[in-house]
Amino acid sequence: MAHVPDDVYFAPVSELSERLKKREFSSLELTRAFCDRLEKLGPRYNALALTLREQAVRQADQADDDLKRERYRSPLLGVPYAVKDLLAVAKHPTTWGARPYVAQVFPEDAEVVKRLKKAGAILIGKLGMVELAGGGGYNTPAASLQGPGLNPWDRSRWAGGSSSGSGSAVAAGLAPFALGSETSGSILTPSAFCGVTGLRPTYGLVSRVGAMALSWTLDKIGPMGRSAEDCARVLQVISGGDSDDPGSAGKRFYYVPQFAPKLNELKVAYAPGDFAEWADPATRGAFEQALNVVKGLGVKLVESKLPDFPYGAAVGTIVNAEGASAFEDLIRSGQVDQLADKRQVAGLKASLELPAVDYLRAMRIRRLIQQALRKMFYDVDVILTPARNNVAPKANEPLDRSLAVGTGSAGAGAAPSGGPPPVQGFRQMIAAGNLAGIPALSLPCGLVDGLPVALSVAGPAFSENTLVALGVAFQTQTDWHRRRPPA
Amino acid sequence: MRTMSKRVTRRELAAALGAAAGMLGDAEAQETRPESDEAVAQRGLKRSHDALQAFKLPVETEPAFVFKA
Repeated sequence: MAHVPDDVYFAPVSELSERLKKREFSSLELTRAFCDRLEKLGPRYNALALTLREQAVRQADQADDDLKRERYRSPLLGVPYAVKDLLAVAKHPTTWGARPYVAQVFPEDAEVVKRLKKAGAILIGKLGMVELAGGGGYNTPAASLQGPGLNPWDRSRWAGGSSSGSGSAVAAGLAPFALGSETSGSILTPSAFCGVTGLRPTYGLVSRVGAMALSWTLDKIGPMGRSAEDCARVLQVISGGDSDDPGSAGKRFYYVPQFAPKLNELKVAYAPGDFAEWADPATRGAFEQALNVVKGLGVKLVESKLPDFPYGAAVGTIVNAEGASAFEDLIRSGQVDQLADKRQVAGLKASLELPAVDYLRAMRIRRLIQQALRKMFYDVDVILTPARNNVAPKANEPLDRSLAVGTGSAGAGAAPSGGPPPVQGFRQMIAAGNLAGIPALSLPCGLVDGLPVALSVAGPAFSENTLVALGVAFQTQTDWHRRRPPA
Repeated sequence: MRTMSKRVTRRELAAALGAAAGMLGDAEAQETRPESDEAVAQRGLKRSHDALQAFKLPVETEPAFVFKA
């Protein structure tokens, strides 16, 4: 049996694929090595929900057969990965991170899992998450079946939510890539806090069949990996129309770097105040340096800001209304009381009484937000912001003390107590981007006191190739995405 | 600068001090008794409601979903 060297745990997908083709090691050896690591270290970060070693070994055997015969189904052939426990894996528990669903088993794989299986990727496990993806407005990192998602860079810090396990597993080298989901911030936040690259796709680009529904008009599934290029390779496999998903756009993403726009033709909007004033003082130096790297890429930076809208209130109301409807039976049966976070229980119960006119008003305002952002993208190609304005908060502190956590998401940009903040720069970009259904990419851009910070780039609907091109260029000039947390 | 003076009776002084002491008591009680989760949830919904209401919405705006037959 060939030795699997330690450097594979932090290698990008493209490198693993090449080394598998060269028979440096087999998919079975690689899979076993990652299963060992996930099972051994996953619990250290409360990241492991379920190991899938047995089926992974069977799939890896098939992948090796294909590799031997040079039947290269995709660049992911033989490469292990893991998924947030919000996605169904046939005949195995799918808990949605929540006690009331510990015994829930679905007969079929989620569509994204089916597509990755067809591409030859090897599913090694399911990952911890914030219960019900935080639908009721959670207030503690411990709002999860596994306990608080811990950050591999510092285990006293939170991994972010709600795709906590996906962020920490990729950061700690427990899986080459993972799938997460975002309703409003749940891919970008853990990606930023854990120092991995995360891609939130355009709404409707990736099928959600077999995924937990929190908010039908906001939910997206996307990759979290080692680089922008890795995320693009994964997105190419999981994207595509699905007639069983009413939100499907019927479109597919093809990673075509050769057709990406030239960087010197890109107009990038940003607000200097986001980097120099809004960002936590400790992080400003890192953001300033990152901004200089972006400037050095030859793009044209233009100062701009989001138009004035009540972004936080709109996204919060939509998540509350749709989430209360999705979990109405859970709430009315009283089983909701089994959730770990009592703030979330109270939020879900209160949302049952949310007036329909409030929901519709939020959805009408959302229409205007969508139009306003579409108009903004007539003039600029990309919007650049800090992904989060701070490093990961302490894992044992209430989030209303350490973060302004909006209802239904980590960092929806909702108002902290004391009323809605004025819209300044792009500070509410997570809420705005999710309301408009546009894609965004989180790029690690520095370390502050040993903790990652990240930039976020967002573009118009279906502009993933542009975002990835900018991400690849940034990651060619920097090595933050290659940094490893302390052993 | 003109100054205003007003003679305060002992009864008024006692009432004012009593009220101040009462307010102080309320504030202390609020500090020691954290707001319940239910109250926080209700306050969040109210805040969102108020923010949405404060936004001037053109009457012709349709919601951001479309029903197709």
